[in-house]
Amino acid sequence: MVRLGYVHGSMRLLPLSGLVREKVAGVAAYCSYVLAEASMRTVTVLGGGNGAHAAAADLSLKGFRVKLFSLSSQMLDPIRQQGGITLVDDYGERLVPIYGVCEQIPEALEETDIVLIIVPALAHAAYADACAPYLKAGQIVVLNPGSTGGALAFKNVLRDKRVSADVPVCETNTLAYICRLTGAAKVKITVRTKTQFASLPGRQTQTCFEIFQEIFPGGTARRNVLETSLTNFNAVMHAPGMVMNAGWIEFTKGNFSYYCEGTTPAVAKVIDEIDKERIALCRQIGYSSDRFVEHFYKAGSTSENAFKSGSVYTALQESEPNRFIRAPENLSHRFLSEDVPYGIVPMAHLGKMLGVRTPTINALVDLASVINETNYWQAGWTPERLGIQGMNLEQLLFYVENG
Amino acid sequence: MTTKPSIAVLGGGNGAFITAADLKLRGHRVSICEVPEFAKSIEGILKSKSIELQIVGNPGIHGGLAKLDVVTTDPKEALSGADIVLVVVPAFGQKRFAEACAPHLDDGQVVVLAPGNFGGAIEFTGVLGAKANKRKVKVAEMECMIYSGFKSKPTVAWVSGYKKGLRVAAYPASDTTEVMETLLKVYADLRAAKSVLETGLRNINTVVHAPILIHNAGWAEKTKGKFLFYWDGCTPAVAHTAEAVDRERISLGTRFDLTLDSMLDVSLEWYGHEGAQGSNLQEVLSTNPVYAEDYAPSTLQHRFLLEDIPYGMVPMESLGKLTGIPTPVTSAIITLACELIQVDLRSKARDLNGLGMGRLSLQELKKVVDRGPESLK
Repeated sequence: MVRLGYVHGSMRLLPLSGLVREKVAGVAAYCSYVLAEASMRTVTVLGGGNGAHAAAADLSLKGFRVKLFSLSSQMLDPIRQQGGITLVDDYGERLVPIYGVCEQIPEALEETDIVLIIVPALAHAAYADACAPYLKAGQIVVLNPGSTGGALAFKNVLRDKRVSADVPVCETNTLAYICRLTGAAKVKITVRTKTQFASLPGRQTQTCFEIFQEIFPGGTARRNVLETSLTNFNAVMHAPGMVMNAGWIEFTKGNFSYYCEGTTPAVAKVIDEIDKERIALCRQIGYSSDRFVEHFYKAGSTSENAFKSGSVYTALQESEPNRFIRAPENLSHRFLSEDVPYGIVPMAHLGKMLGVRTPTINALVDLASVINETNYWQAGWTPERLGIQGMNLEQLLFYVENG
Repeated sequence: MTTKPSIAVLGGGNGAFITAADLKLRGHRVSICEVPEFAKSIEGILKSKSIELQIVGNPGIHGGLAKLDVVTTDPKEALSGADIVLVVVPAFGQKRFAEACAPHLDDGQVVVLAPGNFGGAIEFTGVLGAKANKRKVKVAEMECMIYSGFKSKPTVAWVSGYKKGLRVAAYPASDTTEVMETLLKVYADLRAAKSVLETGLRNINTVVHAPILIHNAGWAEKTKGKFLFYWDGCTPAVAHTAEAVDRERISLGTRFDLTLDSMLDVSLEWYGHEGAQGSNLQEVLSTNPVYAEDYAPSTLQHRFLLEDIPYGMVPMESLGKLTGIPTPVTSAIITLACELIQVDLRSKARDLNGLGMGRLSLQELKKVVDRGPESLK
């Protein structure tokens, strides 16, 4: 039996087959130069889906000690059985051993520097709850991504749980990877994205960003988590297409290309309207945000021609990475279940608090709620859940800066 | 008046053609009149005066070649000798027709907007009042168009649906009994409504057209409407929105002491005789034989938004404001429709403001629809 790394507490031993051993040897050769340079920081990855698999494998490959934990522990069983994660990217396919696949949260959070939370926004509160008793001063939490208000909501849970340790809660505006699980314990990474990053409190953003860059180089620091939250372009882009293609999706089980065919000129107008409402919110907090099309172009998702045209429609028509992405098979997809309650709902609440009108966002929330028979206004991040109820602009900016 | 009233049909579109042909085939004297600027729509029948009515499915009426008595662009000629004037035009055309026929209407004639859409009879009466010095002309409206079908060629119309149980109200409602007496000689299945608020709020096109189209906007635009609007487009989730709008509509009715039937019940009442069935709205709409060939609009610049919103949903929204009944789903549909087609549908709407009734209280509004504007003096 071969041990793949240091094992303690209730962590599993990871036995390897002969074939796997050869692959592991290959990985070691590939990343030896990385190992030589990287610090031996420990990163805890919480989650069990596409993104968590990608981060656990990718960061392990870069030489970090990765501890992986999921509240849905069975999602990690294939990793336990295989003895690591098969990572597929431009460099090929190889099995990457994971330092520790944990059964319990205390082990996962013990002796770690960064707690990287890569779960749907819906699960943030449960993870905050689970982490609260074990977080220690000196650690940082990073929600990757935070959707719209993730760090605020997470911090609010910690406060409710009376966590006294000084733990900055950071968030990014988007996932660090474009990736998906293609088999058991097998993940394909298409793109390593450049994220926007901020910490709550904002005054610790620079310190935290330096640590964050060790694991994910190339991002941008924002002043505070309101800025990262209002850079949630997924929310801008996903809800309109779902609501205005609901019948098409349901009738054909998503048999069309979501961005290319589903975003017609008229649907694009609605995306543009939401983006204008988002930008008005940004302006109100003193943040000059890129428009959707600019952002999309800078992220490498569309053509220069589309960027110059400024047209949302053209940007989505000329988006190579999105060209063949099919529409979701049904309406319970995260494009609604996540991007509405944790994406545009908090934007609407911020609008109400700050005196910015968001009629298009409100309309989409109302209709998404009706078609899915779920009150997303109640289910989503309300000012209370974000811990910012009753604040005016000045108080809000003070809070995100100082915590 | 003879037993078969003489009819003037105003309009030159799908509904006007079917109406004129059906009534002629049933033995009425029928004239048809289009306003000069749309003369093209009756060009095909100007010489022959004949419309071929073809039956699709089982609407329960008979087809055939209808030889009309008068085909004209002159309202005076069309209205002369008519007992009933049926105005079968889109809501945004009603005012134009009111202006065109105001100088030529005679005492005792009955004008029926078929359909009225919200506020049709009120607006029409207003135009007559201004132009015709209050002749003794009764004005009424139907809740919806009686036929479902379309003009397939310049001389041919198809009809696939014939609605039963449609409500009619005169404006003011004190005239309804008299109007019904005449109208029942033409359409025996009509029923009296309490007032034009009831016919306006029973216009259930409002409940289905815009919601279904909004939730299939991408599909309609991308494929130019290559799917069956109700059968394919009204999925369970989409029907949730139609039902939510329906509940808002029914709630509004309670503030005017109206017990409005649900869209489900109305569909079964209208089309049960043609085979419509089901226990929920989605089931009925997605299997109704009447809709077997109803394709989606090929563009979003379509009356499902351009007519049903300013003449249906925006009035509902304004009644909501007056009565304090929330209409969030209706408002959401309006907002998104405006953005999808980049038209401010609210500013052009025939809501209470558009009808010049924006300042009336709830009680005053009830009084006006029952007894006319004079009742407030």
